[in-house]
Amino acid sequence: MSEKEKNIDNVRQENEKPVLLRMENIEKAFPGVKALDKVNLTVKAGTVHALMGENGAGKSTLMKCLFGVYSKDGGKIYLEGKEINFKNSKEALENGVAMVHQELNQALKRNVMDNMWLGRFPKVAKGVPITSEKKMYKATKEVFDKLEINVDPKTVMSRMPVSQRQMVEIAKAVSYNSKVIVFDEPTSSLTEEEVEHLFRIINMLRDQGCGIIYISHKMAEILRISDEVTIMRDGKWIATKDAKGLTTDEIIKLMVGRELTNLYPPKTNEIGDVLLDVKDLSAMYSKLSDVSFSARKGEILGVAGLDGSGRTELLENIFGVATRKSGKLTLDGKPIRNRNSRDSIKNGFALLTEERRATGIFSILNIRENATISSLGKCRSGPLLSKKKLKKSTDWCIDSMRIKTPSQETKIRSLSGGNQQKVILGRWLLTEPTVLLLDEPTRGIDVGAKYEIYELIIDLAAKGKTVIMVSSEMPELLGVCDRILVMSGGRLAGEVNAADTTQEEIMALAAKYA
Amino acid sequence: MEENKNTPAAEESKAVPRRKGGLYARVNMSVKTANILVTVLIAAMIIVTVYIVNHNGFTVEFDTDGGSRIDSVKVMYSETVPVTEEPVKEGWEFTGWYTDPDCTDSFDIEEDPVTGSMTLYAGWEKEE
Amino acid sequence: MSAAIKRKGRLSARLEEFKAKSGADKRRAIVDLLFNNAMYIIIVIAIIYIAIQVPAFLSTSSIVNIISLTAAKLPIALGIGGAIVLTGTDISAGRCVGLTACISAALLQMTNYANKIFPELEVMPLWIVLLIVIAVGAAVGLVNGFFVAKFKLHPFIVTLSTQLIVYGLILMFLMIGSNNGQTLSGLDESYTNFVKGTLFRIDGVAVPKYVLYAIILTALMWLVWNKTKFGKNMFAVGSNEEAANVSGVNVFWTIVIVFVIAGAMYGITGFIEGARIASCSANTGLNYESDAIAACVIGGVSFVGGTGKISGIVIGVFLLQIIFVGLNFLSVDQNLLYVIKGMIILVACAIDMRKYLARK
Repeated sequence: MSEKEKNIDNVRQENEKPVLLRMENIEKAFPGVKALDKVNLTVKAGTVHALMGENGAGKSTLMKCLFGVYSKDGGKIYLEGKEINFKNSKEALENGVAMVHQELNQALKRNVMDNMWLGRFPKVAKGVPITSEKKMYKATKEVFDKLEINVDPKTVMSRMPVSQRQMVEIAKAVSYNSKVIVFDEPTSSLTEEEVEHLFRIINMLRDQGCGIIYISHKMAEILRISDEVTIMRDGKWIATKDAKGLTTDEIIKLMVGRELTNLYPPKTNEIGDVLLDVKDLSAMYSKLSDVSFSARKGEILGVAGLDGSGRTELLENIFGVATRKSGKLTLDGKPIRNRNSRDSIKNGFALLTEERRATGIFSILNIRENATISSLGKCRSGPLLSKKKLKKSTDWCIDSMRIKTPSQETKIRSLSGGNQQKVILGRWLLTEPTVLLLDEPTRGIDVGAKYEIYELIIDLAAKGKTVIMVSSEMPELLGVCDRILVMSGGRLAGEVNAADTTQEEIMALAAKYA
Repeated sequence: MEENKNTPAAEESKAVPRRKGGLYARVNMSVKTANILVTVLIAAMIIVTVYIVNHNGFTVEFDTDGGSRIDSVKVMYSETVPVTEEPVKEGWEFTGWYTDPDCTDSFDIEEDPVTGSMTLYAGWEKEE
Repeated sequence: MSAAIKRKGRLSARLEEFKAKSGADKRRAIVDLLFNNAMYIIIVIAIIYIAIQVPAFLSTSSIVNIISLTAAKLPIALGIGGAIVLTGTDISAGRCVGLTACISAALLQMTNYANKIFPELEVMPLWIVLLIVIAVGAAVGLVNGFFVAKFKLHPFIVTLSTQLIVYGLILMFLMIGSNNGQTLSGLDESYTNFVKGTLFRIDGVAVPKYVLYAIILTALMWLVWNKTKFGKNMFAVGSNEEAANVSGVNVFWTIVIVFVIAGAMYGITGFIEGARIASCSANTGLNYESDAIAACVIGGVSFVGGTGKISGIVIGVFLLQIIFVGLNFLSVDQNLLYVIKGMIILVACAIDMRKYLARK
């Protein structure tokens, strides 16, 4: 029945709009895994096509096959009816297929227009090997005006927030006159306002007849922006549906292959006495200033705010990896200093950092080494480390965190994002902390793994630990936390109770000093 | 797009390059290119080595300390030095070859095999 | 026994994994295998060629010679290995060995030797001299480590500076008294015996005692690398400094100690080297670091950071010495060996780079 419906749907749509990109029966195998198993994807001109699936479902592999990063084992790709086989992303770009990456690769020391025209700088005149700054400036300005991007083309990249750097990347794709643009998790580092802007741009591109492939984990976004949704699971094509009739529950069901009745686990934690008291905390090298709050035993304290509002800096200053200007920390009535990370760990703190790859994992080391690095002192017998104890600690991590891995000796970089996050969480739990500082604990993690992380967080709070959790995803904060601090412009803008607040209230507070 | 209020200091501190991924973090080439480059390098190394091995031989030089000149010779591994003439020096008597300038370690030019490039020093004794 | 079974199991598992691959991947796996082991393949071919050309190459005395040379060069490579794990390097190693060798030789000259650098000095007890040279080496390492860890300077620049400083110190040291920069020789018998004395004989060929010392040092370093908190921290810092800092690793001291241990290793090498070559001059130890770096890279201690094994370093030093001795048998001049050494380092690094190329 639904199959029939879908067919009818397809026929109707196909009559409406020309097919721009068609990927047929794409296959790709890696040692031991079939990463892609006869996957189909059809993108029509003037539509936004959402590509969904849990991490490891094969979304990025599919895109890498399109851009020639991987050579596909089987299947065919057609662009406007012609079969194509790109060897690298440059060739793809020249043929009108562009990608806005999740992780930006830009020359941060150079300015905006240098990055835009890198590799194809406009010349003063034909045949003269001198680049024309003027032409470059004008061309950049034109693209920016078209996309309503309010950035001076001469700004140095590193001085701009990530969101604006991403806009530059989009502008670059547009400047190549791309027909197909792939957005890979474009909103993971954007604020609500910036997301709105991004959607305006995407809608504009769609109206111009571009085909847009939109990869994201955020259901609300997908339902808002996309025309069609393709869902993948375990390297297989599951369904392609019209976005109009879909609901979040339906997508999740298709993605995980089972019903997720609740996005957030039930809360079982009981709030006790005040454990941590922070007074007038100011940072030396960032704009964090005069933040005071207290956190109770068994409490999950959320920290909301826009990107750059000082959320990360707050955690870094509490943990002592950033330099404090002033401020007092009191733990359980006793003043503490937390001068550096070792001091903080001794005082029972743990910090899960925001950028997992840059400051979290040791990508070249194996799971055991990654899990035990902070608690090596406990795995000694005599002066030497005991392999047995190390193994036992790691086993505990793998069991209690439900980490999916073939062995302890597996290199951490071969795990999925969610499992990497669990290893790092396990690393911290091995230090037996009383206060957990979690910075974006679910960033870049798929729905199923997110639920597991929420469970772990609530479980920890139920055991009497204090959890301070930074997140950009408002529903997550509302669903998991007890209280939410809202940061704005480096200051504490307000404090709300998760049970009786709304996203609107938090947004209003977040904009207070911004 | 009003996010420019981020203080430069905060953004700069984020932009400080982090040492991650080691020395090869910036290597940007395809496996194919790497294969070609590595192959070329290996070939170059082998060619140079083969050339060197084909133009082999140790050089034995003679320091006669003011006596008659003896030209240096090329000697192969474990062979003896093919020089039979003895140096002469007015008023001095030749006492043999030594491997050090102080003339303590003597070198029997007819018996001792050569195992590397070296300089032989002539030993002299004042004539009565 | 059980280890052998385990290894065999791993091998067959790999073979099965290989069989499961598709055609293109199979070819890629073979190419990878060939490239990753290219250096070993070349060296094995070279050894076979040399053995055919010069049968004496495989004689007992030649093999003992190779083992002795390996033992002599091993400690310095063990020291540099740590610096490479931290994605750094240490080019002050050779000069450090030179300085410590000269100091040991000067302090342990025969009492009745004519050209004594310290004429008044009695022969000092060996262990005091050993402690002195270890301290001197460690002091140089401390300077290296401090500047690398505190100022985040690249180790290449820091050790380049200390290399020059140490060279200056050697020259000044050799000018002490009436020595006037001459070679130090006439070493006390207790010293030469302690280092070069016969450990045991194989087929009448004496194996020197410093082979034993090298084995002890290797075992010690294996423990440090694999069985101590410091070792694990070192790999963590080499892999991701930022993450190590957040995880509570004292990055500063880890880096400093890696260089201090390296310095101590150079001191011990200097002590052994002083007796081994029996005449120390300003040129002693020259370019030793290049052999050590080459050995580390061949042995899989990668410049990518955070990876490497002691066994790899031992194999690297051993293979390199085989090649050098073999080329000597082919009558290749010492001077031309430098050309080959340089190319070996380049090739080894290129192969290593290829191994860690981001497969995007």
